[in-house]
Amino acid sequence: MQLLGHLSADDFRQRLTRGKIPLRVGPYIYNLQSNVPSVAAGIEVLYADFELADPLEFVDYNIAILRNGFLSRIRGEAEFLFDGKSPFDTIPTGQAYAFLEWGMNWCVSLHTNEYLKLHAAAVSKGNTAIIMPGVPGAGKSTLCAALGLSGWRILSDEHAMIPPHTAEIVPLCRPVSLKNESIAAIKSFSSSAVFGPVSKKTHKGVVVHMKADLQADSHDTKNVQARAMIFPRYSKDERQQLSPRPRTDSFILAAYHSFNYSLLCEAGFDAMRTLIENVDCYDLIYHDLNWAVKAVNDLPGLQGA
Amino acid sequence: MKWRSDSVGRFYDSNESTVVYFDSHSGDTHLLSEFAAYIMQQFAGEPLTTEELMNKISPEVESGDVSDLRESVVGILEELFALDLLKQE
Repeated sequence: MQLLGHLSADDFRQRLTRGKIPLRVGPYIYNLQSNVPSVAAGIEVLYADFELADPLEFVDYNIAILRNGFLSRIRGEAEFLFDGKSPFDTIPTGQAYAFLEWGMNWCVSLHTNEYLKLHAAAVSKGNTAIIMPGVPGAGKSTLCAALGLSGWRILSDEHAMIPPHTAEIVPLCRPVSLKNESIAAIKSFSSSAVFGPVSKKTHKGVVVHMKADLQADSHDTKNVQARAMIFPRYSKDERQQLSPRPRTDSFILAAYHSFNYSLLCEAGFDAMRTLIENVDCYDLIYHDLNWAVKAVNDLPGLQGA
Repeated sequence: MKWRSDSVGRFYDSNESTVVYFDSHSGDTHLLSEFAAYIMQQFAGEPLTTEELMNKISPEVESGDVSDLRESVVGILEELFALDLLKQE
């Protein structure tokens, strides 16, 4: 098995420029191409421990971030390409790394409907996983990063993919997206966090990605059983608390956080029902990451996981 | 006038005060009170007038006052109609 980090710096850059970096990410293979230095730097740091797939294997997502021609270099623009086509406007080069990650998310959000997909972070310890759905800004990625830096395995920062008729999560470990204040929060939480390039002035503000494959089993592809669903919410002004919430109400909220619940129709209802019946549901209001990590560690039924 | 449901509805009841209802006709999912879900279940396969519905549920629903029960049922029927879960014919 060859990891991306086994390539020499020169070999990596040449392959990336030619579009010859087929990375195994969970059940998928992303083939990456870029001639933007910040994108190369980010991939080199954040994906060093990801496996390079065999060049003959089927590629699920062909992605490129390219500066094409003199004018785009002068203007500081790059282009995101999916299967050679450009689905978005041009990107300021300074935001290119963030767009690479968002583009990789977009591929899964748009194309993968064999699973019930929740907009959620997911972490696990042993054979027990926790799903953390949340709207952008709710604090799910920050909590996910803190848990990852505290011994939990990060299954995903963005997509909880659940095969129908199960309460399992398909691991899809990729870097964790941190925004604005959460960057400093994670830097002060742990000095061991590894970060990629900074993307400034994006539509989400300042964005940095954190290396997420921090555990020995980070790249295991076996599904993990979900036992809890936590709806995190960062709030400076409210009392921190972890409190149980009704399953029926959680069903509706989880459906709201799903990328494809409505698309799946009755199969989506059945998949969500199976999931909700098998997890305990909680609200988590927090402003202190250490408190929040302890609260998750102490969840009933998860001790010793 | 009869009330009817065009949906082969699906329910998720975890014995809480609310029930999840999937409307197969629209594809929408609703959070209903237990009583509203119970009323929706009465329409499986057959349209009913308000009176027929009252006759059907009265023996099963504990209520000290039938007029109170009727008022509650009519209110819920109107809400289910407003949500497009029930139709009138």
